[in-house]
Amino acid sequence: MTGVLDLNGLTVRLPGPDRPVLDDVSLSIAEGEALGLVGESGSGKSMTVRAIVRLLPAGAQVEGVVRVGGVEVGSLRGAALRELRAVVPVVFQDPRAHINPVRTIGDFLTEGLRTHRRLSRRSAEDRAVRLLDEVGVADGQRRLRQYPHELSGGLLQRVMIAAALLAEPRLLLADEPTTALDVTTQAEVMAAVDELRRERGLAMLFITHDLELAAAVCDRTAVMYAGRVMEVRASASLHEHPLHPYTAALAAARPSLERRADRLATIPGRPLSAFEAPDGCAFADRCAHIRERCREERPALRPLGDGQVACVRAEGLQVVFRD
Amino acid sequence: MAAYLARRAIMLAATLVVSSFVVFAGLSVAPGNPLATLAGGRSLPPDSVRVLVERYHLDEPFLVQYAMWLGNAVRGDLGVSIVLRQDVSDLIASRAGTTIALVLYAALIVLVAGVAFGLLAALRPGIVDSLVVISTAVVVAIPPFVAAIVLIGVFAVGLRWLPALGNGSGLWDGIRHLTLPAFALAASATASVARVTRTSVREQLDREHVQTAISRGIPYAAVVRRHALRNSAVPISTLAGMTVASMIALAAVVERAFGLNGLGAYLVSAVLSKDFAVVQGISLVLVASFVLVNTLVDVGAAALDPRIKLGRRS
Repeated sequence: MTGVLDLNGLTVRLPGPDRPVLDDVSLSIAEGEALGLVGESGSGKSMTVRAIVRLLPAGAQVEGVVRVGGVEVGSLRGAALRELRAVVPVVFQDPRAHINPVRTIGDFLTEGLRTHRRLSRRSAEDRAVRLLDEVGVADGQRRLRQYPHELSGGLLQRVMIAAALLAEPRLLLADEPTTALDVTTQAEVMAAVDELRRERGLAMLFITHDLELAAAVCDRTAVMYAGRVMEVRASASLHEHPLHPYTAALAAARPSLERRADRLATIPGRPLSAFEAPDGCAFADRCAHIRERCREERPALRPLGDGQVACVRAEGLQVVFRD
Repeated sequence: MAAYLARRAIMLAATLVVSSFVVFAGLSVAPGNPLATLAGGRSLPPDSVRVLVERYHLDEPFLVQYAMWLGNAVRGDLGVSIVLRQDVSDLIASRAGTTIALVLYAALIVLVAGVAFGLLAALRPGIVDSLVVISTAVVVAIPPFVAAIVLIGVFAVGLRWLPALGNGSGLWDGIRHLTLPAFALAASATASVARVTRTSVREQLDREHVQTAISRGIPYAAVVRRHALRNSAVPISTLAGMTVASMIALAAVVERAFGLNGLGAYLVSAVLSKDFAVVQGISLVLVASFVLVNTLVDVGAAALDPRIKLGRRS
């Protein structure tokens, strides 16, 4: 099967610690599909995005295969790599830091078009204004002359999204695009992304630490822990009937508006980085359902029900989580 | 932008008034009476004394003297040299060209060589970077008069590539005569600009916005030029501007060393011959150009970084 994005056994080692930061990650995204990638800080979500567009820190070692539209990314060099990057835009978390502060919004929006499509400034700006309008930024002509510090965070993130869509991509990588925004702006920006994505039939890898947000905008959700994929399933069923103890614990940790709770549910212990993970299941030390063999062998990601899960006790535990 | 420029113009005018006052007050602060200072210790015939008293309004109160002197100076009348009996303005004008050419030449070297070596070091970590870092650390500590001696020794006396003394005649010969002085003047400043360029470009290359540009498939050379170097322009131009402004004063040493007939060398000889009107006139011109260059640098920084104008109310 060749999707828009295929990751197969992606393993990334950074110089220093012996353990990889991404450990055997396999994911795929079909044409027009949105996949949510959920996990705690340090679980390797952003590293996955960086590995796809080859923005890893110097000295990083990559194993496994990354294919975008059937093209293997690892073998690309020079101009071919730049061409690929041009059509796989990344929407970053903090637009204030990720947009050059001393150049105008117009420069930022048209840079890609003028570099890769060799469009004139005028026609690139016309396109930019039209797209700004679509992402909900009015008065585009004036915005093009403004500088990033003159725009609010929400507007700036819309500008970043417009810049991404200007490349007419088939795959969008969104690395926590709303985390740096305040809650009401978050909802608006997310709604705009969701709508534009569906209109265009755009595939998306959406990174977030918000399980419910992922469920709301993504067809499928993958849960990562310590650089490994724990569970991948259709968003709705993952959220309501988690298979992996970690997913279940994450879902339980979210306070509900309907029920009154004296104490918020938490997961005991602290999140592990991939390089600290033990030999067996990475979640073993914090899991309430641990058995001896969880420590001995590393559970592989295997098909179960409508998705995949990396837990040896998944079948047995389903009954427990239903309660 | 217009409000910012107006504010800077007012600040510039205020600075010029204060500095002109200090230059003028030197006349009264100097030991002995102003007449003796103006005469430079020479005994003058009564006629000349009368001319001087009249010219400097020495029988009037101090502030009136200053106002009269400033009024004349603004109109370009800086008095008469007591040694040469010529207008100070003419004496300055005939020598200013050499100093301006020397400082501009040195400024060009500072910017081109400084930025080039800084970029080279920033983009080539390892042996090239270490070489630039070590050699700039050495050169930055060499004052212009030492640089002048070394350059004369190596390139004029040893290799005989370039002349060591005099102004030369004609454009090409003039440039040849200015080359060693300009390098002597620029050496230390070039090294510090190179170091700042290196640090600033390195820092910018690690910034998130550069990551964005790379992630969009912009060629690396364009990323460096449009994002890293462009964003380093403010620290680089601020430092370069400050060092160029200080060269206006340092030029005196270099002009002396290379026997150039410029303002700085003239200032030194005027001090030695106690030609007070000339000292005052040159000081005024040097201070004014120093202040002017610094203002230009500030305005340039505001043009290069749109966020600087935000500092208005802070």
